[in-house]
Amino acid sequence: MLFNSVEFALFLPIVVACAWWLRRSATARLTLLLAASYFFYMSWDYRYAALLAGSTVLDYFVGLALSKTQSRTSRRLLLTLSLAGNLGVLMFFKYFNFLWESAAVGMGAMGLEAPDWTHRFLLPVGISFYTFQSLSYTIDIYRGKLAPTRSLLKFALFVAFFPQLVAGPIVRASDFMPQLERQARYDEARAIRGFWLILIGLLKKICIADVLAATLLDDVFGNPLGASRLELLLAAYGYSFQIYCDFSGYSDVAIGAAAILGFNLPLNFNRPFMAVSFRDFWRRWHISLSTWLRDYLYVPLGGAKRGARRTYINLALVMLLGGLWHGANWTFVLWGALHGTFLIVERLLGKDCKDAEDLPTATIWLRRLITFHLVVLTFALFRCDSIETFGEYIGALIAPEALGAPIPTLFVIALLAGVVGHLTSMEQVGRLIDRATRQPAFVQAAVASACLFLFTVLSSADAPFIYFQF
Amino acid sequence: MQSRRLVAVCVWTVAFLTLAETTVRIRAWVRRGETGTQQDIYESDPQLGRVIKAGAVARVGNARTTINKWGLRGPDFEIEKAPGVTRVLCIGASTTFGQPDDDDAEIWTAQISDRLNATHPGQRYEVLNGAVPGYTVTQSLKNFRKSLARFNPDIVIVCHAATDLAAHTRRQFGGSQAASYALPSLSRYVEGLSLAFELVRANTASLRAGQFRRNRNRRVDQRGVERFESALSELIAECQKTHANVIVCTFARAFSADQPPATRAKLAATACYFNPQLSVDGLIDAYERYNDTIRHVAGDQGARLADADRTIPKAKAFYRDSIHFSPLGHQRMADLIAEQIHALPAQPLTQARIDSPDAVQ
Repeated sequence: MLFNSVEFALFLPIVVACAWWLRRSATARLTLLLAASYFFYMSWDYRYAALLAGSTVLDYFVGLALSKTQSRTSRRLLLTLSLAGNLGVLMFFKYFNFLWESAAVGMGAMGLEAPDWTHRFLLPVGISFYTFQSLSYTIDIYRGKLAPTRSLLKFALFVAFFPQLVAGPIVRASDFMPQLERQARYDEARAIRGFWLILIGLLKKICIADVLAATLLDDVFGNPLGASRLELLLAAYGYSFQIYCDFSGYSDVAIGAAAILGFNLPLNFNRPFMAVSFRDFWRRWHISLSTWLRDYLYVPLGGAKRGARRTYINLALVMLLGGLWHGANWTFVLWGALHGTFLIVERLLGKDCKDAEDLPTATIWLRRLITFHLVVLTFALFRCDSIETFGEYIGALIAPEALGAPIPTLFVIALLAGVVGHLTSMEQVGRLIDRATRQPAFVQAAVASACLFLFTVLSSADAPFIYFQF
Repeated sequence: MQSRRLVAVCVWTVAFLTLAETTVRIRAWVRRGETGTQQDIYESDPQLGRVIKAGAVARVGNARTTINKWGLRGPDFEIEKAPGVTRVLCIGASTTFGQPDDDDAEIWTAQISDRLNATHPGQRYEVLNGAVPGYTVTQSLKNFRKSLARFNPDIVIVCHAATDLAAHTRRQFGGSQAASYALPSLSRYVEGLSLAFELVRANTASLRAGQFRRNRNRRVDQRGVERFESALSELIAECQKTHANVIVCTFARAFSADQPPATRAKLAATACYFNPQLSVDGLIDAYERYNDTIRHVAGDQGARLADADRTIPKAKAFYRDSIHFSPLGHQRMADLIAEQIHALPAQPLTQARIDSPDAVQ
């Protein structure tokens, strides 16, 4: 059940209405939300709900056990159990084939023949997101930063809450669990802001991201050698805005849907292409993942507190793993490696810009331009199916062989809309939404109907969110 | 009052959508005398998905769709042929069955009997329209075995390609079915309910086809074409088993590669709606390959070829949309089929029937 489907347009109001009806009974309301979340997840493949439930039960009991023991060895064993259980499943479904095939290639180069042990299971939707979310719970309890919940229902809902289940934002238990403890209070102002956020998210997804993909990007990245230099350049810029609008659009819908249900989800994007450095970029792009990697990987590795060399190693390692988190493909590994390299180079040059506000405006914009173009280049790699395709892409960019074709008008319009949408800050979006919500109901409805008309005209057949595959 | 604002916005939105839906239905009623509601001439069938309901009648303006007691479009007839009658059975999908705007008498299948009876005094031709909108060759084969073979036709006209191509593109590229009859998902169910939605999608299909370059390099795969070839051969062989002469039609369409791009895109709008995964050029390529396959199968199976693709002009006057005939198109198609029937060996007795002991006697 995609957010941009009629099914979801019916599912969400039904869940909201039922949750409102059950608002006086916390248990009934949370049970309903949990059931709705599992129904939502099972709409992709009911069998994988067992993995979600398994991960939930494991971390729930590990959390309880961690709170009952003070023995360091036992606590480490329990944490290892949680890590092994969650990451083991993730490794099996997401990385086993990739690692085995890579190993087979290596063995083949040495003249050895590797047996075919690859499996045919599909990657469970959202496994990377809920695994990280669930893991953060046990790690926080292990660190003594969080008290475990006694309620399996609440913990299960924390892991499976449908607005952010399949593509984030990755929520921390310390942020979300207290919201489950609160008396349900239906905040209409927040709900209507949520409604507008959903519309904005869908506009970004359907009218910008999907249109960019359908009008030019899929065509160019499918066959870079058949594209002109202009097409290749526009495709790189276009893909950066496609992935931004796709993912931030998803996050907007998730945050909006959660708001209507009375929950707050964290911000996931903050004008990332305005970053003045890569360090700044990762504070603005997929914020819930970058902060997760910082808190649960970079800091435990020593962060920046163990000397310069160790800091560089930590940065490289975190970004490599961050790249690999996106998928089992060498393009993602290289993408992470490039980001790690840029972060290290920035540190080496002392240009990682902690205090960009103090810089002259011209310098800020120069750094923005440099960072943006390097980000665009790395996203072109991210989009390519393989390193070879990226090689073809770069080769064609330097020495194009094809004359290409006219750039579709709709692509240009969508790209401009993407730029404008990106340049609009969250404060401006908030003010826009506030202004919209102050209009009479029929005016708001007219705008919503116009959006639905646009969705009808521009929607492509089967355009899932990019981050669903991760 | 703030606490009711979201509900009010939702109610107003639903009201606007209802107003839009009502408006397009009133427009349909003013222009065509019907509200755009799916005429209830179909019923579900466990084997075929859906079949036409026997005895149903539907009207769109002055156009009447009459379903006889056998579930075929057209007047009633008796299952036993009267002496001297040559029975012609037409098999296909919507281009053979006719559109809701086409009156019973306007359809090319109905016009054939008029032409043949006028040019063959003393001999009576009875033409049965055994087409069902949305059927692929495979469904028509099942339908022939299940229901149509019992009518013992002397001549079978097979006119298939468009629905097979749409099924092919869905199978190859995935994606939603633009107009589905077996609605498996809620989205498709809602799509089927809303005339406004259908109108917007259909009228903007050529915009998407023109602008969405994702489809530019897509070509239908040979495997799907071979699947069509195999199913068509099987259908023809099945018809020939009943000793009927078979005439196979290539598929006519309004758009072609010779037209200016804007004209081509406009004329291909409906075809794009049914095949959203292909560009206009991809569609032309696909139809050409399907028609080549039809020509090839006709030759291989010893069936007569009615080359509608090369006979009926590719121009707006002959089509209601990309593929469905206008009254003029129906006339041309009827002329073509009548010519092909003329060219067949003497009717009603085919060589096989002459050879049979009953015929000699």
